Amino acid sequence: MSKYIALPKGVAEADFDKAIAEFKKILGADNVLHSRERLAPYLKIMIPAQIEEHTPSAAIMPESVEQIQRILRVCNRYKTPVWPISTGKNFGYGSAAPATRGQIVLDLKRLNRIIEVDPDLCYALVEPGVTYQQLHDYIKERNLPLWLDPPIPGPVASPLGNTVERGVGYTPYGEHFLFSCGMEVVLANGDILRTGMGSMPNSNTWQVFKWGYGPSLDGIFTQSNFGIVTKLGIWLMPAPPAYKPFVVRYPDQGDIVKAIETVRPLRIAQVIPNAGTVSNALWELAVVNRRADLYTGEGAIPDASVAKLAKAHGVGSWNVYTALYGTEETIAEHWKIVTAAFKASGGTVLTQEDLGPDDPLFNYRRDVMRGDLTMREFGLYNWRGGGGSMWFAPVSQARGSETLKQMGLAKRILNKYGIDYVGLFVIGWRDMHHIIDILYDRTLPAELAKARSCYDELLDDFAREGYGVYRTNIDFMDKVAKLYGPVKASVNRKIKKALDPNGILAPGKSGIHR
Amino acid sequence: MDRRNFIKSLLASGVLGSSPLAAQAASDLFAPGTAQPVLIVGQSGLPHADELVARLERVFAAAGIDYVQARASGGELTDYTHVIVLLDRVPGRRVIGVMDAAAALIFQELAAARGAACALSTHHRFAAQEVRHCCISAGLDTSIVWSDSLADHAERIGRLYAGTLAGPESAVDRSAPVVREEPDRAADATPGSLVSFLITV
Ligand SMILES: Cc1cc2nc3c(=O)[nH]c(=O)nc-3n(C[C@H](O)[C@H](O)[C@H](O)COP(=O)(O)OP(=O)(O)OC[C@H]3O[C@@H](n4cnc5c(N)ncnc54)[C@H](O)[C@@H]3O)c2cc1C
Repeated sequence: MSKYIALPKGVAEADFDKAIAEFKKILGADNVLHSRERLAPYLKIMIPAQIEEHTPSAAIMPESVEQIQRILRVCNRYKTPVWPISTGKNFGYGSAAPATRGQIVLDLKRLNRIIEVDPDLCYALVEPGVTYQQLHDYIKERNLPLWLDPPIPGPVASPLGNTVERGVGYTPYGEHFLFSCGMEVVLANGDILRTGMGSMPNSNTWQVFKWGYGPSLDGIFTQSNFGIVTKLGIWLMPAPPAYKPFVVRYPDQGDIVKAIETVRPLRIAQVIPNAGTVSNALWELAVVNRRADLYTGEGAIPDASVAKLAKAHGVGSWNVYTALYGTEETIAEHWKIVTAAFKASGGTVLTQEDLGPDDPLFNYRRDVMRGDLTMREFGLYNWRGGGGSMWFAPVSQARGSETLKQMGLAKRILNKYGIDYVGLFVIGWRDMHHIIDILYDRTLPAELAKARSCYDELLDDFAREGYGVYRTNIDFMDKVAKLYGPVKASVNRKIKKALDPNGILAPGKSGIHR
Repeated sequence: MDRRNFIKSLLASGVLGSSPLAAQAASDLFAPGTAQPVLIVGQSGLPHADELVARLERVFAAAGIDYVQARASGGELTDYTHVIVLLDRVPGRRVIGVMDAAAALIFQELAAARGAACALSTHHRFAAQEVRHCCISAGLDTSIVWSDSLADHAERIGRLYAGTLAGPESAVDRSAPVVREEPDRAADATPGSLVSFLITV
């Protein structure tokens, strides 16, 4: 029997022993983990996958770029693949586990230096292990007039990890990759590439001008396995003098059309500048309630019951959370425009003054839309209990008819599996990230199987209508890559072969294999 | 004795005493020895949590395990700043949490982000007459799942944590049958649920 809980595909145990011994020489034994106990944090997933298929062989924790280069030399020699993570909090997408069994998790949490925060040009340069919390504390301690844009797990998650996965937040800087500028990437052969202006010796414009000269490369290092990102520039929003969050509630499910048709022109024109959200009634209810306290029937909660519950709990069938940013004067002017538009569409516009200081749903949205950290949304995991969650996240046009169509499609499939439609739309500039949390009890094998089949069917049926997801979990990466077509897959494979001929970087990430 | 059997033996009805078998099973991670009392963090306002915390206290007292208790509401436990303050106060401590799923996830992830190790985590689903438990341990490749009557379950869970904490010095009367594992058992339609866990902060 092997002394390892898994081995990389095609690697003999004797070779793996040698690789582990070399990693220990480079990093010290404490930073090379391979017992089941020590690997436990990397085995914890919320998605409905079998962990055996994603069990890492080891986890190694470098603290410098130079150590990463030395690690890659060993990996190339023994053909041992590494799966880089920044903080590994990719909850609902696979957490810290690799796409395929036997990979070594390259845990970059010890590379946690905030290299620079420039308060004039409003940017930060950070390493992978820096958390939003760390950056938040740094800014607060120095009293800098800058805002972050954290995702919900911000207190434990990493700006770099989130951005390379193309995650989102809720301020005007919500589309994270769009507001990043300049990467340092260690390639499989150990070369260090700085993208954009970073390739110029002595450049001081790396974090202020994205494109540099010639082909722009940053994108190929997101959701990919072409390199290990070791530094990232992110733009920070100057704290505005005034901020006014609000919610618009709509009573009927079909009102999603009115909500989106109203918000789109305001968002494109930047009257509403932020990545707000349009959440359904069950999302609102699920964040602050246990399902069993509200509904005890079989299967998904029927529409009529959802409508009743929404009314009883004072939430809309749809709830648009968004905000105005600027000076008191500009906000006053914009407020007239937005309230007139939303009221004309049949929505009820409410502010903190209307809701009082203790509305938990409003308060967590208020906080994230101004870049504060909160984990209140984790309340979703009390809805069913049992720790199961998987995000289904198709992209929609910011058009009412499209969001209505996606909602109908999603609900039909989810309800067939007895799963509630707990969903929201994140308001992009011209798109909507349709985010559905598939909540299930992970301790029940039957529920796990249902959740998995449901996701599979969602992917197929959405693809048939031309809809693709913006991101997926470690269990479905090959499938989603296929749905995006053969030419993209073939180009990815060619780049992979050129940059990583031994396939040592995250095989299977986004469906890209050697 | 492997980890799985060790846990199952702790789940068997019996009393704590002294056994070399437990010593074999406990690793530094599984039973981190420390002079500091164990901190039990119970979520207030959840009757099942109250009951389990009370039972833990009774079992710990009987086993001579030193503990202190902290209460926090669901609102406090989902306010991550509150949890951070709590974690700041207990470095090096063993902490048992008894709380709802959301609070447990937040607590465990915040603790893990500062290097905490989780020895045991158990999901409890309550139905009208019985409780279904699903326990994962740092050393197990799969979880252990079993059901107990509502009347008995807390005692068994109390013993599980007590035995795990006491580790090398502890013992268990393993003459009684261990739990019958039932991974496929269906869920009741009207359950409440709870999570308990043991971590070293
Ligand atoms: C309740 C809840 C709410 C959530 N809300 C949001 C949200 O608002 N927005 C959002 O975007 N997500 C959200 N998530 C999903 C997820 O938790 C976050 O996206 C989180 O930021 C990802 O984890 P991380 O930052 O630790 O990244 P990691 O887990 O470290 O990285 C993610 C992936 O990126 C790749 N990667 C990481 N680092 C590197 C590197 N240095 N080089 C190359 N590749 C790398 C790896 O493939 C890795 O698996 C939510 C999850 C939950 C449970």
